[in-house]
Amino acid sequence: MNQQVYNWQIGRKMSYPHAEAHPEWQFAFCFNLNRCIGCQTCTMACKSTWTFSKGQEQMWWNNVETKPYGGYPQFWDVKVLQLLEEANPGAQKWARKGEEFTFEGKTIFEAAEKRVGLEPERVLGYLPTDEEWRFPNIYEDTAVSRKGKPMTFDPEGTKLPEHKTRFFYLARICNHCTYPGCLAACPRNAIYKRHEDGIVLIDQERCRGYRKCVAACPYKKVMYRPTTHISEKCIACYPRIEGNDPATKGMPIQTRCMTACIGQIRLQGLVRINKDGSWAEDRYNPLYYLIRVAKVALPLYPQFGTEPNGYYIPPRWVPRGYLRQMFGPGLDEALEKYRVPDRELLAVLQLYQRTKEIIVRYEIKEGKKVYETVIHGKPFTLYNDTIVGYNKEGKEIVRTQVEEPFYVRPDKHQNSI
Amino acid sequence: MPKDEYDPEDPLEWVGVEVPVESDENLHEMALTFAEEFLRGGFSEDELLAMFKNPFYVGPHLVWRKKNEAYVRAVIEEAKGMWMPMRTMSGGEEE
Repeated sequence: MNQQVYNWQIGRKMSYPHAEAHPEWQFAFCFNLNRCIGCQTCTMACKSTWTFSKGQEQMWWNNVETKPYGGYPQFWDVKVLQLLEEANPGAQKWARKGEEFTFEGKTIFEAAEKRVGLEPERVLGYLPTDEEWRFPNIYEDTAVSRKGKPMTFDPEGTKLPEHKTRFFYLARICNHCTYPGCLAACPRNAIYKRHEDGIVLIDQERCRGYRKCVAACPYKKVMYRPTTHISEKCIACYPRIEGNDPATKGMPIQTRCMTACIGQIRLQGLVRINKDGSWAEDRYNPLYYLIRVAKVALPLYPQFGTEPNGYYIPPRWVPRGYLRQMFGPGLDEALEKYRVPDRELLAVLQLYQRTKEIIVRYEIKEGKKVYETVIHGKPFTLYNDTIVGYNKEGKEIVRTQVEEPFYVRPDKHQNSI
Repeated sequence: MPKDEYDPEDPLEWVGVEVPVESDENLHEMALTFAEEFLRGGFSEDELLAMFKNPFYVGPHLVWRKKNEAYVRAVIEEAKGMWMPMRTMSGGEEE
Protein backbone atom coordinates (compact mmCIF):
# COMPACT_ATOMS: atom_id res chain seq x y z
CA MET A 1 0.00 0.00 0.00
CA ASN A 2 1.54 3.27 -1.10
CA GLN A 3 1.99 6.24 1.23
CA GLN A 4 1.60 9.96 0.54
CA VAL A 5 4.91 11.86 0.68
CA TYR A 6 5.71 15.49 -0.09
CA ASN A 7 7.98 16.23 -3.08
CA TRP A 8 8.94 19.91 -3.18
CA GLN A 9 10.28 19.68 -6.72
CA ILE A 10 6.83 18.90 -8.11
CA GLY A 11 5.04 21.12 -5.59
CA ARG A 12 2.69 18.51 -4.16
CA LYS A 13 2.25 15.25 -2.32
CA MET A 14 2.70 12.10 -4.30
CA SER A 15 2.32 8.38 -3.90
CA TYR A 16 5.41 6.37 -2.83
CA PRO A 17 5.82 2.76 -1.60
CA HIS A 18 7.39 3.80 1.73
CA ALA A 19 6.52 6.31 4.45
CA GLU A 20 8.56 9.50 4.71
CA ALA A 21 11.90 9.07 6.52
CA HIS A 22 14.55 11.67 6.02
CA PRO A 23 18.27 11.99 6.71
CA GLU A 24 19.93 14.61 8.86
CA TRP A 25 22.10 15.86 5.99
CA GLN A 26 21.64 15.23 2.28
CA PHE A 27 24.40 14.67 -0.27
CA ALA A 28 23.76 17.08 -3.15
CA PHE A 29 25.60 18.62 -6.08
CA CYS A 30 25.27 21.39 -8.58
CA PHE A 31 26.79 21.12 -12.09
CA ASN A 32 27.22 24.13 -14.37
CA LEU A 33 26.61 22.72 -17.85
CA ASN A 34 27.74 25.95 -19.49
CA ARG A 35 31.27 24.97 -18.59
CA CYS A 36 31.41 21.24 -19.33
CA ILE A 37 33.72 20.41 -22.24
CA GLY A 38 33.06 16.67 -22.22
CA CYS A 39 36.65 15.70 -21.37
CA GLN A 40 35.49 12.65 -19.35
CA THR A 41 38.08 13.23 -16.61
CA CYS A 42 35.32 12.71 -14.03
CA THR A 43 34.33 9.47 -15.73
CA MET A 44 37.86 8.12 -15.57
CA ALA A 45 38.39 9.30 -11.99
CA CYS A 46 35.37 7.25 -10.94
CA LYS A 47 36.23 4.29 -13.14
CA SER A 48 39.78 4.03 -11.86
CA THR A 49 38.63 4.26 -8.26
CA TRP A 50 35.57 2.02 -8.10
CA THR A 51 34.72 0.00 -11.22
CA PHE A 52 37.95 -1.41 -12.65
CA SER A 53 37.32 -5.08 -11.91
CA LYS A 54 36.09 -8.06 -13.84
CA GLY A 55 32.38 -7.81 -14.60
CA GLN A 56 32.44 -4.03 -14.32
CA GLU A 57 33.69 -3.35 -17.85
CA GLN A 58 30.44 -1.73 -18.98
CA MET A 59 29.77 -0.10 -15.63
CA TRP A 60 30.13 3.70 -15.60
CA TRP A 61 28.81 5.14 -12.35
CA ASN A 62 29.80 8.55 -13.69
CA ASN A 63 29.26 9.31 -17.36
CA VAL A 64 29.14 12.39 -19.56
CA GLU A 65 26.76 12.10 -22.49
CA THR A 66 26.40 14.29 -25.55
CA LYS A 67 22.86 15.58 -25.72
CA PRO A 68 20.44 15.46 -27.46
CA TYR A 69 21.12 11.96 -28.82
CA GLY A 70 23.81 10.53 -26.59
CA GLY A 71 22.90 8.51 -23.55
CA TYR A 72 24.15 5.77 -21.26
CA PRO A 73 22.38 3.44 -21.54
CA GLN A 74 21.18 4.56 -24.94
CA PHE A 75 18.03 6.72 -24.97
CA TRP A 76 17.39 6.14 -21.25
CA ASP A 77 15.57 9.43 -20.80
CA VAL A 78 13.49 9.26 -23.97
CA LYS A 79 12.38 5.77 -23.07
CA VAL A 80 11.22 6.75 -19.57
CA LEU A 81 9.46 9.84 -20.93
CA GLN A 82 7.73 7.67 -23.51
CA LEU A 83 6.56 5.19 -20.85
CA LEU A 84 5.11 8.04 -18.81
CA GLU A 85 3.40 9.55 -21.85
CA GLU A 86 1.85 6.20 -22.71
CA ALA A 87 0.64 5.80 -19.12
CA ASN A 88 -0.85 9.29 -18.99
CA PRO A 89 -1.31 10.52 -22.57
CA GLY A 90 -1.23 14.27 -23.10
CA ALA A 91 -1.44 15.05 -19.39
CA GLN A 92 2.20 15.21 -18.28
CA LYS A 93 2.00 18.95 -17.63
CA TRP A 94 3.02 21.61 -15.14
CA ALA A 95 0.69 24.29 -13.77
CA ARG A 96 1.78 27.66 -12.48
CA LYS A 97 0.21 29.46 -9.53
CA GLY A 98 2.02 32.73 -8.92
CA GLU A 99 5.66 31.91 -8.29
CA GLU A 100 5.01 28.24 -7.62
CA PHE A 101 4.80 25.32 -10.03
CA THR A 102 2.89 22.08 -9.59
CA PHE A 103 3.33 18.98 -11.70
CA GLU A 104 -0.13 17.72 -12.62
CA GLY A 105 0.99 14.60 -14.46
CA LYS A 106 1.96 11.23 -13.09
CA THR A 107 5.31 10.34 -11.54
CA ILE A 108 6.92 6.95 -12.15
CA PHE A 109 5.36 5.74 -8.87
CA GLU A 110 1.87 6.98 -9.67
CA ALA A 111 1.95 5.70 -13.24
CA ALA A 112 2.90 2.24 -11.95
CA GLU A 113 -0.26 2.09 -9.81
CA LYS A 114 -2.28 1.92 -13.01
CA ARG A 115 -0.45 -1.22 -14.05
CA VAL A 116 -2.30 -4.14 -12.57
CA GLY A 117 -2.25 -7.74 -13.63
CA LEU A 118 0.01 -10.71 -13.27
CA GLU A 119 3.16 -8.66 -12.86
CA PRO A 120 2.33 -5.45 -11.01
CA GLU A 121 5.20 -3.00 -10.53
CA ARG A 122 5.92 -0.53 -7.78
CA VAL A 123 7.74 1.77 -10.18
CA LEU A 124 7.24 2.42 -13.89
CA GLY A 125 10.45 1.51 -15.66
CA TYR A 126 12.22 -0.81 -18.05
CA LEU A 127 15.27 -3.02 -18.14
CA PRO A 128 17.78 -1.76 -20.74
CA THR A 129 19.11 -4.38 -23.15
CA ASP A 130 22.74 -5.46 -23.12
CA GLU A 131 23.24 -3.55 -26.38
CA GLU A 132 22.02 -0.33 -24.77
CA TRP A 133 24.66 -0.65 -22.04
CA ARG A 134 27.49 -1.90 -24.23
CA PHE A 135 28.07 0.95 -26.69
CA PRO A 136 28.44 4.12 -24.66
CA ASN A 137 30.20 5.93 -27.53
CA ILE A 138 27.36 5.80 -30.03
CA TYR A 139 26.05 9.33 -30.69
CA GLU A 140 28.73 10.70 -28.41
CA ASP A 141 31.19 13.40 -29.25
CA THR A 142 34.43 11.59 -28.47
CA ALA A 143 37.94 12.14 -29.77
CA VAL A 144 39.77 9.27 -31.46
CA SER A 145 43.34 8.72 -32.53
CA ARG A 146 44.32 8.43 -36.18
CA LYS A 147 44.22 4.98 -37.73
CA GLY A 148 47.51 3.15 -37.26
CA LYS A 149 48.75 5.64 -34.65
CA PRO A 150 47.29 4.56 -31.32
CA MET A 151 47.76 6.70 -28.23
CA THR A 152 48.23 9.87 -30.29
CA PHE A 153 45.94 12.77 -31.01
CA ASP A 154 44.86 13.44 -34.56
CA PRO A 155 46.07 16.99 -35.33
CA GLU A 156 43.24 17.50 -37.81
CA GLY A 157 40.49 16.33 -35.49
CA THR A 158 37.92 13.75 -36.40
CA LYS A 159 36.71 13.03 -39.92
CA LEU A 160 33.18 11.82 -39.60
CA PRO A 161 29.82 12.62 -41.12
CA GLU A 162 29.22 16.27 -40.28
CA HIS A 163 28.04 16.76 -36.70
CA LYS A 164 25.94 19.81 -37.46
CA THR A 165 23.86 20.03 -34.38
CA ARG A 166 24.31 22.21 -31.40
CA PHE A 167 24.90 19.95 -28.44
CA PHE A 168 25.83 19.99 -24.82
CA TYR A 169 27.44 17.61 -22.41
CA LEU A 170 25.35 16.20 -19.59
CA ALA A 171 27.49 14.88 -16.75
CA ARG A 172 25.64 12.36 -14.62
CA ILE A 173 26.06 10.33 -11.47
CA CYS A 174 23.50 8.76 -9.13
CA ASN A 175 21.24 11.55 -7.82
CA HIS A 176 20.89 9.96 -4.37
CA CYS A 177 17.21 10.77 -4.63
CA THR A 178 15.01 11.69 -1.71
CA TYR A 179 12.47 9.11 -2.95
CA PRO A 180 14.68 6.64 -4.84
CA GLY A 181 13.05 4.49 -7.50
CA CYS A 182 15.63 1.76 -6.89
CA LEU A 183 14.88 1.60 -3.18
CA ALA A 184 11.13 1.53 -3.79
CA ALA A 185 11.39 -1.37 -6.22
CA CYS A 186 13.71 -3.70 -4.31
CA PRO A 187 11.79 -6.81 -3.17
CA ARG A 188 14.55 -7.65 -0.67
CA ASN A 189 14.79 -4.22 1.01
CA ALA A 190 18.47 -4.40 0.14
CA ILE A 191 18.68 -0.70 -0.77
CA TYR A 192 18.80 1.92 1.94
CA LYS A 193 19.29 5.65 2.38
CA ARG A 194 21.79 6.60 5.06
CA HIS A 195 20.57 8.73 7.95
CA GLU A 196 23.80 10.73 8.22
CA ASP A 197 24.12 11.97 4.63
CA GLY A 198 21.24 10.65 2.52
CA ILE A 199 23.54 8.53 0.35
CA VAL A 200 21.68 5.62 -1.28
CA LEU A 201 23.50 2.27 -1.08
CA ILE A 202 22.88 -1.35 -1.99
CA ASP A 203 23.54 -3.89 0.75
CA GLN A 204 25.71 -6.31 -1.17
CA GLU A 205 24.91 -9.11 1.29
CA ARG A 206 21.15 -8.82 0.87
CA CYS A 207 21.02 -8.17 -2.90
CA ARG A 208 20.13 -11.22 -4.97
CA GLY A 209 20.33 -9.56 -8.36
CA TYR A 210 16.65 -9.46 -9.28
CA ARG A 211 17.39 -6.20 -11.14
CA LYS A 212 14.14 -4.57 -10.09
CA CYS A 213 16.25 -1.56 -9.11
CA VAL A 214 17.91 -1.44 -12.53
CA ALA A 215 14.49 -1.29 -14.16
CA ALA A 216 13.07 1.18 -11.65
CA CYS A 217 15.81 3.82 -11.54
CA PRO A 218 14.62 6.34 -14.16
CA TYR A 219 18.18 7.70 -14.48
CA LYS A 220 19.53 4.19 -15.03
CA LYS A 221 22.26 4.56 -12.46
CA VAL A 222 22.02 1.09 -10.96
CA MET A 223 23.96 -1.56 -12.87
CA TYR A 224 24.03 -5.33 -12.79
CA ARG A 225 27.34 -7.15 -12.45
CA PRO A 226 27.24 -10.48 -14.25
CA THR A 227 30.26 -11.94 -12.46
CA THR A 228 28.77 -11.58 -8.98
CA HIS A 229 25.09 -11.72 -9.99
CA ILE A 230 24.21 -8.69 -7.90
CA SER A 231 23.67 -5.01 -8.65
CA GLU A 232 25.98 -2.10 -7.91
CA LYS A 233 25.72 1.66 -7.99
CA CYS A 234 27.49 4.94 -7.25
CA ILE A 235 28.34 5.10 -3.55
CA ALA A 236 28.99 8.87 -3.57
CA CYS A 237 32.57 8.09 -2.50
CA TYR A 238 31.17 7.77 1.03
CA PRO A 239 34.56 7.25 2.74
CA ARG A 240 35.44 10.76 1.53
CA ILE A 241 32.09 12.22 2.63
CA GLU A 242 32.65 10.63 6.06
CA GLY A 243 35.99 12.41 6.34
CA ASN A 244 38.09 9.25 6.31
CA ASP A 245 40.67 10.71 3.93
CA PRO A 246 43.76 11.49 6.03
CA ALA A 247 44.39 14.69 4.05
CA THR A 248 41.38 16.45 5.55
CA LYS A 249 41.77 15.35 9.18
CA GLY A 250 38.21 14.12 9.59
CA MET A 251 36.49 16.76 7.51
CA PRO A 252 34.25 15.72 4.60
CA ILE A 253 35.84 15.92 1.18
CA GLN A 254 34.12 16.03 -2.22
CA THR A 255 33.86 12.89 -4.36
CA ARG A 256 36.49 11.76 -6.88
CA CYS A 257 34.46 12.88 -9.89
CA MET A 258 33.94 16.35 -8.42
CA THR A 259 37.54 17.03 -7.46
CA ALA A 260 38.91 15.70 -10.76
CA CYS A 261 36.82 18.12 -12.86
CA ILE A 262 39.14 20.32 -14.89
CA GLY A 263 36.34 22.48 -16.24
CA GLN A 264 35.33 23.56 -12.74
CA ILE A 265 31.71 22.72 -13.46
CA ARG A 266 31.05 20.87 -10.20
CA LEU A 267 30.21 21.89 -6.68
CA GLN A 268 29.23 19.18 -4.23
CA GLY A 269 28.19 19.43 -0.63
CA LEU A 270 25.75 18.53 2.10
CA VAL A 271 22.50 20.30 2.92
CA ARG A 272 20.66 20.16 6.23
CA ILE A 273 17.29 18.43 6.17
CA ASN A 274 14.40 19.00 8.61
CA LYS A 275 12.59 16.04 10.13
CA ASP A 276 9.67 16.58 7.75
CA GLY A 277 12.01 16.30 4.75
CA SER A 278 12.10 20.00 3.87
CA TRP A 279 15.42 21.76 3.48
CA ALA A 280 16.45 23.54 6.66
CA GLU A 281 16.98 27.27 6.14
CA ASP A 282 20.72 27.56 5.60
CA ARG A 283 21.07 30.80 3.68
CA TYR A 284 24.85 30.79 3.37
CA ASN A 285 25.32 27.16 2.36
CA PRO A 286 26.41 27.52 -1.31
CA LEU A 287 24.12 24.73 -2.51
CA TYR A 288 21.15 26.09 -0.57
CA TYR A 289 21.80 29.48 -2.12
CA LEU A 290 22.15 28.24 -5.71
CA ILE A 291 19.15 25.89 -5.57
CA ARG A 292 16.66 27.48 -3.17
CA VAL A 293 17.51 31.21 -3.14
CA ALA A 294 18.98 32.15 -6.54
CA LYS A 295 17.18 29.19 -8.17
CA VAL A 296 19.73 28.99 -10.99
CA ALA A 297 20.26 25.25 -10.49
CA LEU A 298 17.46 22.85 -11.37
CA PRO A 299 16.80 19.13 -10.85
CA LEU A 300 17.11 16.70 -13.77
CA TYR A 301 13.69 15.52 -14.94
CA PRO A 302 11.83 16.50 -11.74
CA GLN A 303 8.62 15.07 -13.24
CA PHE A 304 9.94 11.55 -12.68
CA GLY A 305 9.10 12.16 -9.02
CA THR A 306 12.16 10.79 -7.23
CA GLU A 307 13.26 14.24 -5.99
CA PRO A 308 16.83 13.87 -7.30
CA ASN A 309 19.55 15.67 -5.35
CA GLY A 310 21.66 16.46 -8.41
CA TYR A 311 21.07 19.97 -9.79
CA TYR A 312 22.16 21.65 -13.00
CA ILE A 313 22.71 25.17 -14.26
CA PRO A 314 21.32 24.58 -17.76
CA PRO A 315 23.27 25.43 -20.93
CA ARG A 316 22.19 28.82 -22.29
CA TRP A 317 22.22 28.11 -26.01
CA VAL A 318 20.01 25.04 -26.20
CA PRO A 319 16.39 25.37 -27.44
CA ARG A 320 14.18 26.20 -24.50
CA GLY A 321 11.50 23.58 -25.14
CA TYR A 322 14.05 20.80 -24.86
CA LEU A 323 15.46 22.22 -21.65
CA ARG A 324 12.05 22.82 -20.08
CA GLN A 325 11.25 19.15 -20.47
CA MET A 326 14.61 18.21 -19.00
CA PHE A 327 14.83 20.67 -16.09
CA GLY A 328 11.24 21.70 -15.40
CA PRO A 329 9.35 24.96 -15.54
CA GLY A 330 11.84 27.06 -13.55
CA LEU A 331 14.12 27.06 -16.57
CA ASP A 332 13.55 30.51 -18.05
CA GLU A 333 14.04 32.34 -14.76
CA ALA A 334 17.16 30.29 -14.02
CA LEU A 335 18.73 31.07 -17.38
CA GLU A 336 17.97 34.79 -17.19
CA LYS A 337 19.50 34.92 -13.74
CA TYR A 338 22.62 33.10 -14.90
CA ARG A 339 23.10 35.23 -18.05
CA VAL A 340 23.26 38.40 -15.98
CA PRO A 341 24.33 37.25 -12.52
CA ASP A 342 23.84 39.54 -9.56
CA ARG A 343 26.60 40.43 -7.16
CA GLU A 344 26.10 37.51 -4.79
CA LEU A 345 25.67 34.89 -7.52
CA LEU A 346 28.85 35.98 -9.27
CA ALA A 347 30.75 35.58 -6.01
CA VAL A 348 29.26 32.17 -5.17
CA LEU A 349 30.09 30.86 -8.65
CA GLN A 350 33.74 31.46 -7.76
CA LEU A 351 33.54 28.63 -5.21
CA TYR A 352 33.39 25.94 -7.90
CA GLN A 353 36.39 23.63 -7.47
CA ARG A 354 38.45 26.01 -5.38
CA THR A 355 38.89 23.38 -2.69
CA LYS A 356 38.47 19.63 -2.30
CA GLU A 357 36.82 20.00 1.07
CA ILE A 358 33.07 20.42 1.37
CA ILE A 359 32.03 24.02 1.95
CA VAL A 360 29.05 24.23 4.28
CA ARG A 361 29.02 28.03 4.67
CA TYR A 362 30.26 31.02 2.72
CA GLU A 363 30.75 34.66 3.57
CA ILE A 364 31.14 37.56 1.16
CA LYS A 365 33.37 40.48 2.07
CA GLU A 366 32.50 43.46 -0.11
CA GLY A 367 35.27 44.76 -2.34
CA LYS A 368 35.92 47.70 -4.64
CA LYS A 369 33.80 48.60 -7.62
CA VAL A 370 35.77 47.60 -10.71
CA TYR A 371 33.57 48.82 -13.56
CA GLU A 372 30.07 49.43 -14.78
CA THR A 373 28.88 47.85 -17.99
CA VAL A 374 25.87 46.43 -19.80
CA ILE A 375 25.47 42.64 -19.93
CA HIS A 376 22.88 41.34 -22.39
CA GLY A 377 21.10 44.69 -22.33
CA LYS A 378 20.99 45.03 -18.55
CA PRO A 379 23.10 47.41 -16.45
CA PHE A 380 25.72 45.57 -14.46
CA THR A 381 28.34 46.60 -11.95
CA LEU A 382 31.30 44.41 -11.17
CA TYR A 383 32.62 44.47 -7.62
CA ASN A 384 35.79 42.68 -6.68
CA ASP A 385 34.26 40.95 -3.68
CA THR A 386 36.11 38.35 -1.66
CA ILE A 387 34.33 35.09 -0.93
CA VAL A 388 35.36 32.88 1.97
CA GLY A 389 34.31 29.24 2.39
CA TYR A 390 34.13 27.38 5.71
CA ASN A 391 34.03 23.67 6.51
CA LYS A 392 31.79 21.77 8.94
CA GLU A 393 33.89 22.91 11.90
CA GLY A 394 33.66 26.55 10.87
CA LYS A 395 37.29 26.65 9.79
CA GLU A 396 38.19 28.74 6.73
CA ILE A 397 39.13 26.45 3.85
CA VAL A 398 39.04 28.73 0.83
CA ARG A 399 39.34 32.44 0.10
CA THR A 400 39.10 33.84 -3.39
CA GLN A 401 38.00 36.94 -5.29
CA VAL A 402 35.61 37.70 -8.12
CA GLU A 403 38.52 39.21 -10.06
CA GLU A 404 40.84 36.30 -9.50
CA PRO A 405 44.49 36.63 -10.47
CA PHE A 406 45.37 34.38 -13.43
CA TYR A 407 48.47 32.22 -13.03
CA VAL A 408 50.08 30.08 -15.70
CA ARG A 409 51.72 26.99 -14.27
CA PRO A 410 55.38 26.71 -15.35
CA ASP A 411 56.18 23.90 -17.79
CA LYS A 412 58.44 22.15 -15.28
CA HIS A 413 55.33 21.21 -13.26
CA GLN A 414 53.56 19.55 -16.19
CA ASN A 415 51.88 16.28 -15.18
CA SER A 416 52.92 16.62 -11.56
CA ILE A 417 50.34 15.98 -8.89
CA MET B 1 34.98 -4.67 -45.40
CA PRO B 2 37.79 -4.24 -42.85
CA LYS B 3 36.37 -3.68 -39.41
CA ASP B 4 37.82 -0.23 -38.91
CA GLU B 5 36.65 1.35 -42.14
CA TYR B 6 33.60 3.54 -41.97
CA ASP B 7 30.42 1.84 -43.11
CA PRO B 8 27.38 4.14 -43.31
CA GLU B 9 25.06 1.12 -43.37
CA ASP B 10 26.36 -0.31 -40.10
CA PRO B 11 23.75 0.36 -37.38
CA LEU B 12 26.47 0.34 -34.73
CA GLU B 13 28.60 2.88 -36.60
CA TRP B 14 29.38 6.15 -34.90
CA VAL B 15 27.42 8.93 -36.55
CA GLY B 16 26.72 12.61 -36.22
CA VAL B 17 23.06 13.60 -36.12
CA GLU B 18 21.47 16.81 -37.26
CA VAL B 19 18.77 18.41 -35.18
CA PRO B 20 16.05 20.23 -37.12
CA VAL B 21 15.78 23.14 -34.71
CA GLU B 22 19.37 24.22 -35.29
CA SER B 23 19.51 27.95 -35.94
CA ASP B 24 21.94 30.84 -36.28
CA GLU B 25 20.55 32.22 -33.06
CA ASN B 26 21.48 29.05 -31.14
CA LEU B 27 24.91 28.98 -32.76
CA HIS B 28 25.55 32.59 -31.77
CA GLU B 29 24.41 31.99 -28.20
CA MET B 30 26.65 28.92 -27.94
CA ALA B 31 29.67 30.83 -29.26
CA LEU B 32 28.95 33.73 -26.94
CA THR B 33 28.61 31.41 -23.93
CA PHE B 34 32.04 29.90 -24.62
CA ALA B 35 33.55 33.36 -25.07
CA GLU B 36 31.95 34.77 -21.91
CA GLU B 37 32.79 31.77 -19.71
CA PHE B 38 36.43 31.60 -20.78
CA LEU B 39 36.96 35.37 -20.66
CA ARG B 40 35.63 35.36 -17.10
CA GLY B 41 37.95 32.45 -16.39
CA GLY B 42 40.96 34.54 -17.42
CA PHE B 43 41.56 33.68 -21.10
CA SER B 44 43.03 36.40 -23.32
CA GLU B 45 41.54 37.27 -26.70
CA ASP B 46 44.30 35.36 -28.49
CA GLU B 47 43.86 32.25 -26.32
CA LEU B 48 40.14 32.35 -26.97
CA LEU B 49 40.58 32.63 -30.72
CA ALA B 50 43.07 29.75 -30.63
CA MET B 51 40.47 27.62 -28.85
CA PHE B 52 37.89 28.31 -31.56
CA LYS B 53 40.46 27.39 -34.22
CA ASN B 54 41.50 24.15 -32.54
CA PRO B 55 39.64 21.11 -33.91
CA PHE B 56 39.99 19.32 -30.57
CA TYR B 57 37.52 21.78 -29.04
CA VAL B 58 34.67 20.50 -31.16
CA GLY B 59 31.97 22.88 -29.95
CA PRO B 60 33.87 26.15 -30.45
CA HIS B 61 35.55 24.82 -33.59
CA LEU B 62 32.15 24.03 -35.11
CA VAL B 63 31.35 27.74 -34.96
CA TRP B 64 34.67 28.75 -36.54
CA ARG B 65 34.19 26.23 -39.35
CA LYS B 66 30.54 26.95 -40.05
CA LYS B 67 31.09 30.70 -40.03
CA ASN B 68 34.55 32.23 -40.28
CA GLU B 69 37.25 33.93 -38.29
CA ALA B 70 35.66 37.36 -38.63
CA TYR B 71 32.44 36.01 -37.10
CA VAL B 72 34.33 34.48 -34.18
CA ARG B 73 36.31 37.69 -33.62
CA ALA B 74 33.03 39.63 -33.55
CA VAL B 75 31.63 37.23 -30.94
CA ILE B 76 34.75 37.63 -28.81
CA GLU B 77 34.48 41.42 -29.13
CA GLU B 78 30.85 41.23 -28.02
CA ALA B 79 31.83 39.21 -24.95
CA LYS B 80 34.72 41.57 -24.22
CA GLY B 81 32.44 44.56 -24.55
CA MET B 82 30.24 43.11 -21.83
CA TRP B 83 32.75 41.61 -19.43
CA MET B 84 35.93 43.58 -20.07
CA PRO B 85 34.92 47.19 -20.69
CA MET B 86 37.53 49.94 -20.34
CA ARG B 87 38.43 49.74 -16.69
CA THR B 88 38.08 53.39 -15.92
CA MET B 89 37.26 52.55 -12.33
CA SER B 90 40.03 50.00 -11.85
CA GLY B 91 41.35 50.28 -8.33
CA GLY B 92 38.70 52.95 -7.84
CA GLU B 93 36.28 53.88 -5.16
CA GLU B 94 35.64 51.87 -2.01
CA GLU B 95 32.20 50.36 -1.57
